[in-house]
Amino acid sequence: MRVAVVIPAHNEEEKICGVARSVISCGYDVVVVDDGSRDNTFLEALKSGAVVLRHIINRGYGAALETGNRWALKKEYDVIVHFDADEQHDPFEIKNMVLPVIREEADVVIGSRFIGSAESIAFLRKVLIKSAIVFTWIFSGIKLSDAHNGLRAFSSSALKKISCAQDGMSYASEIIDQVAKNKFKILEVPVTIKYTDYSMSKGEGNFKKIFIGIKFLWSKFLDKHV
Amino acid sequence: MIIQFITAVVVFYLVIRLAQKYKRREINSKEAFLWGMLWFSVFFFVLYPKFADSVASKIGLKTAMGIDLVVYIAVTLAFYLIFRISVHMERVERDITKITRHIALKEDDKK
Repeated sequence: MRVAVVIPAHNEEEKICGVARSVISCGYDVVVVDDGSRDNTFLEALKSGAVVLRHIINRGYGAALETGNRWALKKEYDVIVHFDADEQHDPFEIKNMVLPVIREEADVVIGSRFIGSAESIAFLRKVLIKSAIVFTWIFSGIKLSDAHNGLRAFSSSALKKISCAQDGMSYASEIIDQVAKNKFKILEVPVTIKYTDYSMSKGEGNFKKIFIGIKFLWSKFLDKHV
Repeated sequence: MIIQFITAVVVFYLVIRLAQKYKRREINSKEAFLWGMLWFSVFFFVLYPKFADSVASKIGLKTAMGIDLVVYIAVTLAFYLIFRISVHMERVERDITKITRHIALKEDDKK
């Protein structure tokens, strides 16, 4: 079974080579999608030995993941994994994400920091993530313990049926929505999320997370008219 | 009287601009017609404000004046136009992403 790990990256020259190498050293093929970075993300990613795709302009987290997905499906990978570029995820945990897909126990596997561990998570961040869980439950009908985890694994057959239009961070909500619509088997596995000063500086602010939810709803409404 | 004169001049100018845009094919006949009807309506209501009052009264706005009706219609129209622009922008953003993705994948194919 061939596994591709998609790493979207925007201005991650500091970490991307190390992150991509760590995933490659675990035995996976890596495709980094440089999303219109203004630094040396592209060159640093190439040094890692990963396949590197490049968006000539910045389109957003969701757009970069979708490009990586399309590449992986074109290359006929069996399992596609999403992995963050900011060292929040542990590459050794990819195995736990991939195995249920290979064993056909699930079409989609989502990591959960709340059944795993979230080192040093701030209280307000925790509250917002829990709110996102309720939000996802109301609008997609799926109850997850961690609705916005960037560590995900898909079977290629499931990913072929998913097509997300959200370019930004609200992609995370749309993907769950699509999983619900297609009635895929979804499984959550415990994962570790490391909050470092670097990863917090790269992430969305707490109030912006609220706007991400509003943007998702607005785009869902616009979908009927676009 | 003065406000009616100023409005007439402004509307006349806008209609001329509209005709020029139509002649240069910057807008199609449907758009030209709709904008033309809008400016004509503005001109008409400014010339005959009592007509607006009677329309307002007939549709149930008993304590409102014709100008209130015009404002309600203008606000509704503005929100509708904002919605249409949002839809158009969303379509354009998605198309830009498609093009960006196409270029990224094409460059990889060349390797």
